Amino acid sequence: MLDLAYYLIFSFALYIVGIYCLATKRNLIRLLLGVEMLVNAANINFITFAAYAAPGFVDSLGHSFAAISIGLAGALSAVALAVVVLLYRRYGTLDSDELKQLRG
Amino acid sequence: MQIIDVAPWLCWILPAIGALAALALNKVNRKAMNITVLSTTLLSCIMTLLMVPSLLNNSSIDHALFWFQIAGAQVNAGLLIDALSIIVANVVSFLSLLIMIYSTKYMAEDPSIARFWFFMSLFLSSMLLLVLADNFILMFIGWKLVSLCSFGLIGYYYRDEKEHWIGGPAPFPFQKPSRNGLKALLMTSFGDTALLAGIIILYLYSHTFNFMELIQTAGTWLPAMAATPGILALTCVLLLLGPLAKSAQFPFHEWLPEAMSGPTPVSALIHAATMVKAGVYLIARMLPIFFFAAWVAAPAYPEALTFFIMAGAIGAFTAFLGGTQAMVAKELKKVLAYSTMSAIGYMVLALGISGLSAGSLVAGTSSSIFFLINHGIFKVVLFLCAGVVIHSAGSIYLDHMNLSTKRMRFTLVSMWIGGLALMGVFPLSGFWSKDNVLIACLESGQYAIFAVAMISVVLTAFYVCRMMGLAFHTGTPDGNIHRDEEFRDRKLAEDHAHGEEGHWIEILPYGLLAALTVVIGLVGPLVSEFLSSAFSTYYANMGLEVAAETHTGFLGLSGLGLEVLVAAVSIVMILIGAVPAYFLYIKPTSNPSNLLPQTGIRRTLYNFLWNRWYINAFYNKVFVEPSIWVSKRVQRYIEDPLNQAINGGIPEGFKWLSRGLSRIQTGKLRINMLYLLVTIVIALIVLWLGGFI
Amino acid sequence: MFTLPFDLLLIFTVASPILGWVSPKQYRAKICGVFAAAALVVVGVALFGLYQDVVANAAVYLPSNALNFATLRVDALSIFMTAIFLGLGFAATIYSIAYVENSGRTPFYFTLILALISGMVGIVFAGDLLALYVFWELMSISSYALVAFFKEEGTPIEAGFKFLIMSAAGSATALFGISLIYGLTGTLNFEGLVAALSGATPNAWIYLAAVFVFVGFGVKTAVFPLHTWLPDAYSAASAPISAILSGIVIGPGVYALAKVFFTAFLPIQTAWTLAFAVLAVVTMLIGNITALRQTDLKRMLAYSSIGQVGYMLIGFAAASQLGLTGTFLQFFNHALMKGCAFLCAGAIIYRLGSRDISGMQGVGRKMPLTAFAFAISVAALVGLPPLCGFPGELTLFSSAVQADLTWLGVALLLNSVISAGFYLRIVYVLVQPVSSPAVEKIKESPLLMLIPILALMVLIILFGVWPDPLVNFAGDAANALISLGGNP
Repeated sequence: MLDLAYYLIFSFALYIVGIYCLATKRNLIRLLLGVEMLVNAANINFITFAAYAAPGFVDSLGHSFAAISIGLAGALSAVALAVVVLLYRRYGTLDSDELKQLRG
Repeated sequence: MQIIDVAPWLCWILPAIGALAALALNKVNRKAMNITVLSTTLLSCIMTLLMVPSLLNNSSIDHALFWFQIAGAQVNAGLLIDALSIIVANVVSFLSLLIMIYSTKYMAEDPSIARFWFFMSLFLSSMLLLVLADNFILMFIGWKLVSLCSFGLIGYYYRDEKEHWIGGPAPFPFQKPSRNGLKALLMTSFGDTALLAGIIILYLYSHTFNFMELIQTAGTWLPAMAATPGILALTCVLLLLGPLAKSAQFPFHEWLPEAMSGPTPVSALIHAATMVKAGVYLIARMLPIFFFAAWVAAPAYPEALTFFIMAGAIGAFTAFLGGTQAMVAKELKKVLAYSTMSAIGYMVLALGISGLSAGSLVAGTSSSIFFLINHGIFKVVLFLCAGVVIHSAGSIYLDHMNLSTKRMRFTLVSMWIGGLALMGVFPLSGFWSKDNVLIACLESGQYAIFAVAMISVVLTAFYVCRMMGLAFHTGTPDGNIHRDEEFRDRKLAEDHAHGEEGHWIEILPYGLLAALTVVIGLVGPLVSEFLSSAFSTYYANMGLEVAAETHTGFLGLSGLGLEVLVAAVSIVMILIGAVPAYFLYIKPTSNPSNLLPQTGIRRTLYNFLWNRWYINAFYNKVFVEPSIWVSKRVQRYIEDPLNQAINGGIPEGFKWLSRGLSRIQTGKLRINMLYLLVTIVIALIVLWLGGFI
Repeated sequence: MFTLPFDLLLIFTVASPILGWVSPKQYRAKICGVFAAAALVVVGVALFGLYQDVVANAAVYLPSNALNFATLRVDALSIFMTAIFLGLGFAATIYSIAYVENSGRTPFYFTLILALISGMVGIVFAGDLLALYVFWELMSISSYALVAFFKEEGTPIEAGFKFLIMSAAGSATALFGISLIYGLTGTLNFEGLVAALSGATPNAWIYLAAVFVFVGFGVKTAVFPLHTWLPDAYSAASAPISAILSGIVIGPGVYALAKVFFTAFLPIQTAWTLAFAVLAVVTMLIGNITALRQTDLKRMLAYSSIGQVGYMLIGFAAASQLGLTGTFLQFFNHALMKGCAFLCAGAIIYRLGSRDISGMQGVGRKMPLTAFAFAISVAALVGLPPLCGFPGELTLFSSAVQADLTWLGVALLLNSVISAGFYLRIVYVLVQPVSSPAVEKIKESPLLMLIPILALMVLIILFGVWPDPLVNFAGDAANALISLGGNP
């Protein structure tokens, strides 16, 4: 196994990538992927800490949290995609900058 | 839970519900609205009657509920049921019921009667709250609510139609109802502020607002208070100013005559029978504390005597003042207003006497309360009759009323009964109460006050006869309605004047009360005895043992002999007042105005009295006009520039800020996410710079 | 399984779509609505039973108090929050019956509301961060669907999507922070966290975790600068949903922040109290000042919610029992006041058809009861005694003064004044004489809308005149939280 630090750097990097994706991309589907990335960054953290809790022992709490969180992210994606479909039907575009009826 | 636990709460909550119901039912059905309000009033009256057994077994119960706690001060919402509160509550609710019955007919043609019912019912509720409250805070809430209702009712005709103006007749100035309401509110608010200051000072020393606790712990906090010279006297003065303003005593009496611009039931209820008595009630509530301080505490604190001296002096002076002004008043309701002022002066002076010597506590208080009860009853009779009279004659001015004694017999008889009771003629109720006050004066040795009170008896007799004479007995007996040119455009004259008797719904209340006046008169001594013993026990429960009377009476007489003497003297005074009035007004041998030359000392005296001793003018000149002058200058030089700066500048500033801030709401999702990213980054940077990471 | 109230709530949630499926179409809205309302009442009754239990022991645990299980932990704070969730949910459900039309989708509306409330109850019942996160997601996902529910116009869907992305990002960030906490201590249970971290010396990781958790939960709580989704979401959602969102969905955010910061982040308390103080002031100002220029009624109310959140953060800055009492009390009262205001606004917009404030002149004359209830709720929001906003703000002010943060208290007062500026403007417009023909035609709100509005108004007045029981309850709730963390 690699040193704990590498895993953590990886998950932080994934988090930053996710936030960057949310802050700069305009396509709605890409935004969803960005959110997924954030969730996965946290999941990686859980798995990592579960493995590094004590030598030779894997803490099941971290794994179970990761599994649950994947399920929840799936539910989130389902709802989000439904909303995206509605949006596309209504606005005709997948560009988030076009959603500007609400401002101020 | 017995009925006695619930009755006090119900009795002030029910009229509040009635007030709301009046507003709610307004659009639904007028009759339903009337009936609902009357039923809540009736229930409230029944509740107060249910409290009477407590009076008979002489108990003092404090029903307290914990209410709130702020900064360590705990205020309970509680009701104190003892002799004083039961009596006053009963008077209030019973008279309210009758007056409301009267109003259903009297105000029948008024389009916005829902507002009337709302304020009347709310007034009843707050007055009962005031009377039943067990601590200063709750009482003050009732006090201010009563002021609010009074403002709403005096200014009831707030659109200021000409027919509702009072004052005049031309060329004298008129006053408009909206202004009168404001005047009443302002004047009583002066007193209220002083009262609040007094309450706060009292609290700072005693750490309680509760009446019972104040008197029970008086021994502990009085020394600290009296240690600073002048504080006790100051508190006496402050605490007294509030009731004096509310009860229209000098120098706060000017609002009461103008308060007559409200509808007559309002004048009857608020400005004769109940609200103005609230001041008397509060003085009676606060009495024991100062009596304790002045006579019972060892060492006694003579500063507390300020309370009684002030009450006695102002009461006596107002009694005289009111009487003189009533002698020359031109409007019927103004006569009654001045007479109310004068009568309350009697009550206040009786309360003052109760503390001016160690032995007259019970005599002073019980005579004052007896006067309160009787005055409430016969003054309501007079006002309700006045309402019918005004509608019948089509005018508010006495000179224009030539009503038929044949066609308005009920009203005539009731009004005479009320008037004679007011004068204090045997054997009506007023005789006993007035004499009790006078006897209390003599027994405690306050001869100056006695003299002033006696003179007031003369004045009262004079103005009552004058009023009755001008209203009914001048002109031809079958009543030519005298319509004056300048009142031709007064709608009142056109619509109502009919010279006929009032409707039976109107007559019933005051007929009933007139009969009650006679009945109480017949059993006068018994009622007086009962009240004396009730108050004896009331004070004994507080630990204020009444010392033996130190004065041995007047001219060596005491007891029955004294009573007969005083009765004889008062009858003489009545005759001194009544006889000239009889010859001037009732069976006029000459026109009364012939008695009044255009110049000369009589004219000066007349002008002096007519202009209300120039007190009103004085207030106007000294307080109102300079305030207006100063406010205009302040407006031009200080307020307007500041206005530009603050009221223009600050909103502009906020608008600019707001516009700027609105721009962060771009509506673009990316930007929102950017904020999130930026937040994390800045937080990390701050932590890194701070050395935490 | 779980505690009785929570069980019942979940059962009703699951049963709701089945009931909707079998009910005839023309009564569908009424049946589902009444079912949902009845469900909330039943749960409320069961809650009362649980409350007795909690009062007897300090807290109720399920399934056990072990450190490696996901647990439920019910204490006074949970009961306090659940009470207001159920209460306002009930009012909004009754109100919704008048609002939704009969269609195939209606049962899902009420199912989503019940799911939303279940999620919130789960959050406050959670005994560790795992359960908290699961129910947090339940609540969030239900709320995304509810905001976008009325898809006939475009704005709800747009608002729903923006809300979804931002809130999901927030949840994910919070999850990241939770994972860091897990890494620090190896446990997620609140009591375990306290045990593990109470005496620890702060190191960099705990600060990092604090930042992420704060940003994550702060998105839902709408602290500056993470509040930008709120005006869109709240104003575009339909009136009962806005009432629920604004009234109670803020609660779990505040609750989660409080729970985590007062248990896991106790060692670094001095650092974050100052941060919260600054953020409280900024949030208050932003919320209230931006509201001054709004012309859309619901948007203005949404901005004022941000201001109220700022008030609630003062309790965090004070970090004392009195401060937390103020926060929770303010939250409870805010739910009542803002809920009533949003419901009234919804009724006015429903009748009038427009949301522009300047077009609402004279509405008060045509809809007197609604306008009166609105005026009462707005007066309470400003903080006038004797309405229920006053005790909350008074407690917050006292706690700020007590914690030597008097400037916070002054900021609170100033913001009350500023908020009066825009609230009273609405009331002023409402009582003008009627001037436009559109207003001329409207009548009073429908009965099913009027009942919850008036009920809430009565509660506002009642808790204002008699604040004591509520203040004591909030004090118990705050105590439960503080005692969990040991003495700060």
